[in-house]
Amino acid sequence: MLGVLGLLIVCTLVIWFEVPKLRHKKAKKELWLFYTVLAIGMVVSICKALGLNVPNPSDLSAAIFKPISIFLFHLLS
Amino acid sequence: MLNEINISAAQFRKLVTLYSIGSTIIVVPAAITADAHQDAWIAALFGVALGIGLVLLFTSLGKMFPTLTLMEMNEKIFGKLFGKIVSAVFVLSNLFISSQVLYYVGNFLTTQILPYTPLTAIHIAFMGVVIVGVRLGIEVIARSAEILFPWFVGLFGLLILSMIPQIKIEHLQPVFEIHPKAFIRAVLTFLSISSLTYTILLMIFPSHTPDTKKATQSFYIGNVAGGLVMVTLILLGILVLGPYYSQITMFPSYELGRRIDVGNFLQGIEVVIAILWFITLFFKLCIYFYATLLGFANVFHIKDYKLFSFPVALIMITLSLIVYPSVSYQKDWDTKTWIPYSLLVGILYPLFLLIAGFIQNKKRRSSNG
Repeated sequence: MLGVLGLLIVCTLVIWFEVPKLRHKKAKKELWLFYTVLAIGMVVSICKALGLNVPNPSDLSAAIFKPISIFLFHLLS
Repeated sequence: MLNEINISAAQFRKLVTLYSIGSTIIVVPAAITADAHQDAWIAALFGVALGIGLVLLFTSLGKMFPTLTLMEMNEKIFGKLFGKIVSAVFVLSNLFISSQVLYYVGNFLTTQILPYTPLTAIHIAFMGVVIVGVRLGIEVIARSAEILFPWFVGLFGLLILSMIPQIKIEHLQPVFEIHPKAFIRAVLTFLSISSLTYTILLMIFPSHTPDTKKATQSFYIGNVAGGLVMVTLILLGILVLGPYYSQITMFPSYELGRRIDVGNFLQGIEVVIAILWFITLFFKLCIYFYATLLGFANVFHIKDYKLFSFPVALIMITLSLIVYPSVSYQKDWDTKTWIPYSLLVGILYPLFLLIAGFIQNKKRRSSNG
């Protein structure tokens, strides 16, 4: 719980730090993209802080490269 | 090119050197000695020589598009939509790799120096410095490389000089005992973490270094210098610790620092030697993080890449706690997935870009008459 609180504080600080400049410049695309990336980050990190199971991207790449790696290491052993 | 960024050839040389030593210094010595035993240094030397060939590939790609970053090359060669997809995949995989580098930092520190500190705290602290560096811009990073390089050389010299009395030449014998297949495996291990990761440098190399001719030389020199530092460390590990001990310790080069004992007086300075690791890992991580941010900004055509530094760093810190659940998973992934991945991204992808660019150039020239 403490972790989630900390993350929310960080999130607020980041928004407070970055967004006014963007508002001032009226950069709409940047603003949307910024919020999207921040939201992804918050979701992932809050899941991690609550101890939920976050899928591991290394597993995905391991699955993609598995055929090549089996072939390669069959050649080399 | 988005805005004028100017990195001199000398700065670029130091950047390449520190980058190529980067995480190699942590991962490779144990892994390569496990494959090639006492001949690991020969494999590493071979790897450095092959690295020169790879640098030729990257520099000729840089010569073909002297003002573009890698993302813009993608869009030019693959077309607008497909180029964006390739770039997005590249940026995403870069994000994962940078969190892996961050994990190396935390893993090294929690294993050797700060065993009671949580991994998260170390990652946040280290990432904080990297965010500051990247927000100040790649020029500042390059200049700090120039400042920190003499420290690196000095500490490395200290490590070597204080190790010389403990060298046992018998550890090297028998030489050339290795099986050819194990030798190729060892060379691949070395290359995959040092020279095959230079693709990311294409985000900096032709576009931010206006003096392309001198920067090309710097690329070669930096690669060879970084490679020779690694060869020396591996050789020293074998000569002092012996091939067996060198392959069962996690960080043989740190173990070397621990064994420093000059006249029963100069000892226990391994943490000072560990500054070497922090310097190189800092620059490796900075370049990865910078490439990720700049690539992201390029894909969406946004001028200011610094905008995303905090959100992306948030994702990265979280991922760094996830990407490697354990050290055994890391070792397994590093050989089984990382080597094919790095062959794809480090050789096939730039080679494809080079050939496609060559054909496009030829077509344009012939259509112009």
